[in-house]
Amino acid sequence: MQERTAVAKTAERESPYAVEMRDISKGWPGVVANDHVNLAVRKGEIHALVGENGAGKTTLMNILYGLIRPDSGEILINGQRTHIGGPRDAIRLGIGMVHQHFMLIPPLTVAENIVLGHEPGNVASVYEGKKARQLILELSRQYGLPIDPDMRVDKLSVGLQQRVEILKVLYRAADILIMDEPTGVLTPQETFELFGVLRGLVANGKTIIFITHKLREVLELSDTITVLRRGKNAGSLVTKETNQAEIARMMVGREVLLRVNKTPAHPGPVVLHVEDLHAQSDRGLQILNGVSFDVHAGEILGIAGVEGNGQTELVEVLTGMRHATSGKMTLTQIADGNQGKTSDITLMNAREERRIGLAHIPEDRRGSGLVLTDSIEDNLILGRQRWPQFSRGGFVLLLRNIAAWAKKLIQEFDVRTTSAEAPVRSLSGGNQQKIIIAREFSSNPMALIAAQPTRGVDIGAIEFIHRRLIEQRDAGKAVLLVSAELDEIRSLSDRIAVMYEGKIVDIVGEDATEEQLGILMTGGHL
Amino acid sequence: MFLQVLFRVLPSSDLWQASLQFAALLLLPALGGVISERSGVVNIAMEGMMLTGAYAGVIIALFTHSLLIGVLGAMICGGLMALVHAIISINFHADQIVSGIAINIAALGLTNFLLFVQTGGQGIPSLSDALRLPILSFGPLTNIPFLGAVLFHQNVVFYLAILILLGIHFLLFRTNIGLRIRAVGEHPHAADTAGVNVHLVRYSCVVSSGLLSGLAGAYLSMGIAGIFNSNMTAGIGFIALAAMIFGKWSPWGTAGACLVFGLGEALSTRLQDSGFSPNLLATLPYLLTLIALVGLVGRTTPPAADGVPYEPGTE
Amino acid sequence: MALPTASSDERKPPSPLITWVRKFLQAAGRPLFAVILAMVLGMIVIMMTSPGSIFDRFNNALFAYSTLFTGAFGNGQNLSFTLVNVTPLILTGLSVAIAFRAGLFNIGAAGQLAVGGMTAGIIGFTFTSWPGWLLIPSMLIGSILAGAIWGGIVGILKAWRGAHEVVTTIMLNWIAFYVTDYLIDGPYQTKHGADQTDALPAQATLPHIASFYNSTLGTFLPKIVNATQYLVDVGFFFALAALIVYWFIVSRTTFGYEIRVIGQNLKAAKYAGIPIKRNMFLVMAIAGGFSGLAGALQLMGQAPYQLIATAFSIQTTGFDAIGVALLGRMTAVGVLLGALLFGGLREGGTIMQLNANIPGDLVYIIQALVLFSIAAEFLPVLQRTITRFSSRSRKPMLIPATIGGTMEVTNLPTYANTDEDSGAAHNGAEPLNTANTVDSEPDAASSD
Repeated sequence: MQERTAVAKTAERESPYAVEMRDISKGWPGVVANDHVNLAVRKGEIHALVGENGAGKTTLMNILYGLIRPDSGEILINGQRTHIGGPRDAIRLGIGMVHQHFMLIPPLTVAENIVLGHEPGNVASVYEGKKARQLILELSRQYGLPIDPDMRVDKLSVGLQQRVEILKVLYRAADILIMDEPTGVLTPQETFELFGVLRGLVANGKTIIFITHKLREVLELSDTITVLRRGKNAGSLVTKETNQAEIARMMVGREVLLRVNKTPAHPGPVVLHVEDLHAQSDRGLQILNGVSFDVHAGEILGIAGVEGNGQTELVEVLTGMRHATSGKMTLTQIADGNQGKTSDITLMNAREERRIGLAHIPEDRRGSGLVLTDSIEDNLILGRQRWPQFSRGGFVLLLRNIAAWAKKLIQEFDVRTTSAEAPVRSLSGGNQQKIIIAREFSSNPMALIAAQPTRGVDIGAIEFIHRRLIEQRDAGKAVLLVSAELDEIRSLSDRIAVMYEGKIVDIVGEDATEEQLGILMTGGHL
Repeated sequence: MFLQVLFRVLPSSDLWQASLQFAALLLLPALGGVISERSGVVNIAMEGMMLTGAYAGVIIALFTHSLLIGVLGAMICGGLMALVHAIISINFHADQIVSGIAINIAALGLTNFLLFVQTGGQGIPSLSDALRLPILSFGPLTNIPFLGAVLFHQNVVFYLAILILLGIHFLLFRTNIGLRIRAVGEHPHAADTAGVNVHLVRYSCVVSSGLLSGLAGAYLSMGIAGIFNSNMTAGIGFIALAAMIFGKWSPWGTAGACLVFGLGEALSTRLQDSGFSPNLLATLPYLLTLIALVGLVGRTTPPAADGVPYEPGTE
Repeated sequence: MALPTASSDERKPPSPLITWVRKFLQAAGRPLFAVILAMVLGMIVIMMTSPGSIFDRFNNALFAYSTLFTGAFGNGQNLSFTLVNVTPLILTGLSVAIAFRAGLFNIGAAGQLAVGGMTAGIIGFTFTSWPGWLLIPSMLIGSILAGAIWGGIVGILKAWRGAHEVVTTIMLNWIAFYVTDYLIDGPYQTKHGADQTDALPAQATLPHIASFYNSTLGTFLPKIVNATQYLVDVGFFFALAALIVYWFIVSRTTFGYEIRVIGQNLKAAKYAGIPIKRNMFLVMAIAGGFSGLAGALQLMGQAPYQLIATAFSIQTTGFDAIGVALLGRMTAVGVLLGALLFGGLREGGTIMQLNANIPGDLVYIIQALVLFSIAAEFLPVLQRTITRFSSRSRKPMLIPATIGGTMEVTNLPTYANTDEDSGAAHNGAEPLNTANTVDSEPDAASSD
């Protein structure tokens, strides 16, 4: 555990602020991430740092933790000006960071993960396992965070892994904790527990800064708020005195439409029929335990649920990327409102499914949905390269057709680019998503599966995507929307299916309340 | 005929002594590979680093008339080659396999080039006994039947190798440094945020592997052969690579693999009159490794971040 | 996208010359830089080991280099020697390149070449009574199939068992070397010597281009004088044909499209329903076929038209091919140029040794330096270092990011990332936002 110098202690007594970041700027070629940003966090406070994607919040915190160095500006910790050249400096100053993507080493134990870098004894000595275990148990008792130090980290639940991360930070005598999107991967129950832990830490004298985009949590947990927009300060608020709408307005700079206007649905015959699907996860656990539902033409069925209840695997099974161990899926062609051929798609792979009219907007757009280093043209035929309009005999590419297709789509969807041959990664995030949507919507599918379609996309583009989804519904397509954002589900869906532990626990109408959905999402019954 | 010769040869202490000698030659670069890859840097340049060490040792020993300086020089030169690999891979994010291949080619070119230039095209004379790595003989212990000749009458480097084996196992699994090395090899980003200096750890490990391979080279030219010939490592570095993989990146596993491969090599020279082609026998180490990779001997997975360059946000 | 950046539609479109220069630099910039850097470093090596004053050393180095170049391309005869080297380099280069396209590292070109050469030899030594028009195609096809099998094994092991191809190819190389040695020293050893096979029957050999020309087109067109000194054989044309086949497969077929997706982003390949395992096997088989053919052409095109023990393991063609493929950035034209360079270096090296008394091994050193230069991201790191000095300014970079960026090479697979997303590739100038990949996307070049 660390000691403080006498000089630092005097400065501490004088300043009410645990952290002050003044006039911080950071930029990279062509991009300005932080533009003269100011942040002030009082001691013993829970401070929320809020903003859209790309607003610069994580950059700012990375600077505070020493992972990035600012181009200009200064940082004061407890009233003293400091230079933070790396995480080690930050740790010495009492700053700890819990990252959104856990920084844990899977094959090592809890104890090893926690003490790594600050092992008992000095660097060159033997590893003192007993001492480490003792220290950790002490900490865990002091802060109310029970954990088994000898368990391998990859065998722990997500909530427990986060607990290890918090203990890591406490082990290094952090007084200032930075938490980056801490609730993204937690169940509501785990979130509730986390909030309790955080309040307890504050009661113990800690200061907490947390980054989030979940406005509800900001209102529930924080004392004060800093809003960033496009790399600059957009405002500071006291939580008690503000509301969700005001924060959202500061984040975006204009009135935000939180609900999409849509006309009532006129559902037709069943297009996608899913019956008793079972499947296993990559770890070999049963992840789908008998999922059944129908999606009709001209409706949006939303699948709500906390991430990790099988939604990802469900989409993979539906789109042919994962095999179901049992169950059945069928796709029925609809022409002019009349039922056509029904095909069994249970065993079909992704390519075959596309052929008969299933389109898929993947949840991992930069990972699965696009080949970033490839041209826009090539990305626009991804998955359909063997279709007769793009290749002769499914073998020889018809380059002229492909180019014409690309030109048409770029125009229709207003994609900002200098050339269709440019690599897709030269596009902004929003334009990249447009490419995926253009590709999937324009192939005239029968059914459309959209998984987390607006994740990582800023509010302006969200509206665009939502409007397009409604358009597809009105054109008679069957749309399945899988999203972890409850607002999105409630705003778009005509019916809502709630998924919990690999099953659809209930299907409710679009006017279900948040409370009702919350109960269902956590395994309760109405 | 083959089996006859085999059964005649197997119980001879001479065979096992040669096996252990060769195993030690493999063990050093293989352990170097283990350290390097455990820290996350792929290293297929054992061949090149060994060759460099083999040449450097002989030339420096001849020049300084000192065995010790020659051996140290060999290790340092091996370390220098490894340092190049480290700089290119760690700082410049080169693909580590290409860098390794480049080192192997560079070593071949450099040693031949220098051999020509520094000896005026004459080649290198054999080393006098004073400059050769000696065999250590533990007096009365050598009288033990069979084991005496096998275990207690080996080159000094053999005993060094055993010490190094024990040392590396201890280092990796019982010390804080070892914990950091393993962490860096599995998840360098996490190690960095925990305050570990990832680059320093990786540099140290890669250079260490160079030191070990250099020592092995000296063992080859100054201990076993007594002379340097062009390209004298002739694939031994790759057998060491195979041993590391077959041994699943663990020090003891690697040692076991080296024993097996050492036995194979010793057998192949002794079975020449048996009618079984030594060439086919020589494929043994590679075949065994292939079989291991196919998963018949359990999964072979390297450290998770092996081969992936890491750029911390700070320097 | 919320960040203010320069929007590309606001500037005037650049002049055609600038666009052309930029495109050229984008394509050939890094390879050129690599070669030049290697040459300069090689010159320094010569200078360090030559006697005399700095001036003398510099002259010596220049002289050495001039003999290197004339030795490679200086006159018709040297050029034809070079082309003899170039034929197998093109084929093995294509072998490595096509595997790279699918994200696979084929270090096994040497072994596949050996297997192909051996198979061609076996067919040639066994069916000595067959006429040429039957024997030659059989040998060629046999060598391609043998190479394809040797490569296919790697593909199968990778696709179905996850065995990393770097290791399996190295293992198979040595197995191939020893097995062929066994065959050459054993069943196929000639009675007239040791460690070598018989020579091929005359009808199994490929004619030299010059002699061939003289006896066909030369009957009514001017003949080539002293045809026998131009040793390059018609195998060279097969290599050129292979370049065209490669280009067609990779850029004009759906198979080529699919392996390119696999090589750039495995997750996207799964999403698109591309059959990954089957394609991995096929691409390795094709790669093996190219190298196998190289082995056959080596045997059938040049004296002594026989296989010699340990020749396969000494030959560096397999590793040269990696340099050729990387330098040529996995394109057909690039591989051709790369093969010419490496073949020229090899040939020029021998002449340089004769005339300038600099050991031909310098060529290995130059080669290694080229590999280092290509693999290392020198330019982007240089850019970063320069920016650090000029970090106060927020103006865009002096050196456009395009020179350092868009390299398939940075996506080369390693032990660890075979199943992972290689789609979010590193652009040299892109900062690594270490904590959060979703939040900020500073790689956006235009605003939303």
